Amino acid sequence: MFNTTFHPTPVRTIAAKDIRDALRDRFILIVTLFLGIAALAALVTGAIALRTDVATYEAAKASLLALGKTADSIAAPEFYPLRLLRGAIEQTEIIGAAIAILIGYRWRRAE
Amino acid sequence: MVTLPSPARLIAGQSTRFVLRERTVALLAVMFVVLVLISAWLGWQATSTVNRIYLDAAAFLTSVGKAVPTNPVLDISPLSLMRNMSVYVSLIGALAAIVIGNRLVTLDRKAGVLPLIGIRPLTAQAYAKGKIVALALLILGLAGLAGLVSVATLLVLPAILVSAGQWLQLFGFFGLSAIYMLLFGLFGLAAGAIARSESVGLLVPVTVWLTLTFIAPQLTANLNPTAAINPVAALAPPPDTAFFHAMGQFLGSVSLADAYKFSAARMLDLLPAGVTSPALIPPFAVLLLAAAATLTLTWRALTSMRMAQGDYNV
Repeated sequence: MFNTTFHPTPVRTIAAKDIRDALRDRFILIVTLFLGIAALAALVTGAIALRTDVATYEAAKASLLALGKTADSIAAPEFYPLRLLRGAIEQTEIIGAAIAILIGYRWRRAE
Repeated sequence: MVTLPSPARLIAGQSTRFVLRERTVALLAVMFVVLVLISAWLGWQATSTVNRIYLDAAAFLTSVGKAVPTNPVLDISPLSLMRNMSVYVSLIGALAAIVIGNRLVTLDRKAGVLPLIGIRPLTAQAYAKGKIVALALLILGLAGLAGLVSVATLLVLPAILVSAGQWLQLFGFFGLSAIYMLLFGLFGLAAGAIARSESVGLLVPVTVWLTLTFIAPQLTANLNPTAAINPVAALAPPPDTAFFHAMGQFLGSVSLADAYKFSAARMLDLLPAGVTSPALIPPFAVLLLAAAATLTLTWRALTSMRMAQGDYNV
């Protein structure tokens, strides 16, 4: 939070007041929580899909080894764990933008 | 003898005029129509380009005495040109419907009209009926405008031949889109009537819309938000795991965006052979059940609203 005790300019005072109001507002808390849940859902479903891909590859590799072949017989797997964040990023882009508009609208109404 | 209009008709007429004067509503409606026009233009442009190339190739092949293959434009359903229309309905159309529904009741509450209506010989049922009729008329207007643009696009394309059955499918698609938008509009109307705060009255339906459009497809089919609104990519099979099978069956049965996606794809001949909705309830039935549920909720919210109720808290 801004320190308004020293150098309290009008901009700092208004900004500090708005931030204090926002932190007390249940509306902001709930929508922020909602955004977190949306991002988490994207991350979890992506992780489940990736886990399935890894399990499929491991099963194929085990079958080959059981048949006496080498693991080189199948293409090397290409897993990109950081791609799991893509869904979360998209959720933040879209849902975050819509929620930010509503928060701005609420503040204007509150004034 | 002069017959006076019924109270419900009066409310519907006044509400429609009042909402149409709102700049936010006008802006969203214009945006929807512009996007529909762009969608139709893109479909027209892509098809006419392929057709022009085919005609040039056919002329060349004929001049050198070779056989001319069939026109590729005729190999796909002409309705698939309208595939982007479902994107705009589920995004801008649904959002516009929420705002229209919300404004229909919010404007009365903010202008202090409710207590004035309350002292007139008018029942709460007539008020509710008038508001719902006004919403339905405005949504039908939006869907009708989008339908007109689509029909005009299909008529001006020379290579396209639309059968009677396909025209029916197209009208069915716009009927389906109107139901989908109406669902959200009704929810916006109910939330606007129930909420004590204006921003909460708008936030709740928008949150439900965001959840159904972007979060539910992520859970049912691991579709990221950008893929979820792509009419073709959204039909890709989900990962073959027990989690997605179960979510597709159960959550898919209440996921309106999934239900609209499958129903729209079937109407516009976009659904690949063998692909069906994994939900336990057929997609169109899901939409009809949701329409009945939101209509009941809105009726209750409007008829139980205190007419002495004034402006919102915040």
